[in-house]
Amino acid sequence: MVFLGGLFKRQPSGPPSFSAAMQALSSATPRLKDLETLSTGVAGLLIRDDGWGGSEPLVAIDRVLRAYAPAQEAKTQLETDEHGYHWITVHHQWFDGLTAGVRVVGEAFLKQDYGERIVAAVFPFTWKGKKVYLIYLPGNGKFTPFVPVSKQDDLRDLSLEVRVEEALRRTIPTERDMSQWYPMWDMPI
Amino acid sequence: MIQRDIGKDTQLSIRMFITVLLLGLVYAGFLYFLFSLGANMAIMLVFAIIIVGIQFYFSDKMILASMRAKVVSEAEQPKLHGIVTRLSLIAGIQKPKIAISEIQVPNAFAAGRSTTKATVAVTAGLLAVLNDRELEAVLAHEIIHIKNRDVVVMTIASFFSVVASTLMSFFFWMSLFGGMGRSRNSSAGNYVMIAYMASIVVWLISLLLVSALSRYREYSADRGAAIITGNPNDLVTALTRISSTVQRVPKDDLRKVEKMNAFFIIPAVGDGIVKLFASHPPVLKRIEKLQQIQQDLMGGWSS
Repeated sequence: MVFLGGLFKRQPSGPPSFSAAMQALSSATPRLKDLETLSTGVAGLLIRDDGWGGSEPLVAIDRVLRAYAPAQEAKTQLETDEHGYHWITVHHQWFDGLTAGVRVVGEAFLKQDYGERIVAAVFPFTWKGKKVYLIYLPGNGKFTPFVPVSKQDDLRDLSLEVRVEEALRRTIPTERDMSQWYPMWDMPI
Repeated sequence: MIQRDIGKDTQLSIRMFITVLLLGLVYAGFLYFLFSLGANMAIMLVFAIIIVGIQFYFSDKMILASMRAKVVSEAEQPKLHGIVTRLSLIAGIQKPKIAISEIQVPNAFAAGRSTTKATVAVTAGLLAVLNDRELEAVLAHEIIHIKNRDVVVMTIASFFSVVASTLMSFFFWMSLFGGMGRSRNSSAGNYVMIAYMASIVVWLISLLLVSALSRYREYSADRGAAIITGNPNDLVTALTRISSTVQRVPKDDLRKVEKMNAFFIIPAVGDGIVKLFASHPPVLKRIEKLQQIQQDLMGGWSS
């Protein structure tokens, strides 16, 4: 799989597709385990609402979930956060199932031409009691780390974030430029 | 006995020794080369020594002025003075002067040509960002710089690097103006060219070595600070805070930025070369070493 990951990277054409990124991520688990980082059994897709208006987005998302999620044996849920963004949360015991679930939901969005509404796919892990988030941005095709410590103090564990990024950069397309490591506080996952 | 032995990092000492040795070799070769070129060079060398000497003598005042820092009295800043008094006592040095710079970027530095004529300075940005324990850790780092005489060490280490860069620009102008009006004499032209090349090579190599030495002195100061405060973690959180402010890890929530639509356009820049010439080690490496010291300290207490 590492070999395949290398092949993906060498492709000159734009960012890798959503599906390819999810596949690469599922093969990144051994590296995450080296860091003793464990999946929390949940992942989330961050969906933009603007332009849809009213209840239409919720209906559309609901349709997607009903059509695709049961087939993957993944439990899904829909939430709206304080920023007015929707979260589709996917639950699965195994990390492979989680990435597969997110991939399927993402592909369903792409099929319905709602692909641009996916702002991010977020995978939370735990590391020695801390929450470590891997945030995938389809916009630039890269993963960024985020380890929140305290929202009030605007404090994040930058050293752990750097370790995570360095551990994963050979397996998945990570964003190396720290000025692009945007935080996301108070995520529902 | 209040003074604490700050121990030794053997590997770091060996690296420092090798770096200084290499630097000495490069400089000796450069000196030999200069003198083989003739008497003019000896005069220039004396001239350079005088200039660097004057710079060194006034270095603290120049740095403080360039950082817009003012010395503060005990009445103005009792807390800072309290921390520095205690740390200097533990480190076994005379208490330095304390200055505050109005600059908002969090930073701290030590200046002064000797342990008795030293100043530690912090910026207003640093005071705003750090809590008391983190501030103490950063001040301890600067006090170890003073104890280690790092201003003197680095001035001496970089002396010939400065000379080489001065010669480099001198030879550059000389070659532009045709070797002082003797442009038809091709051997003079060659000689300027060779001297120019040699200066560039010496300057580059010495800059690399001086940067490496500077990074080792930083690790050393981190180590000393961790040990005199007894808590490496305070320096870890201080470094994290400073670097996240300085390196501009974004503060705005992804969703907020996403709404603004100004998104992901800045390309990543390779930083391999930059690292080689950096005067400070990467924060991550410093944090790793401090965490190692923390473990060593804990091991020491339990056994």
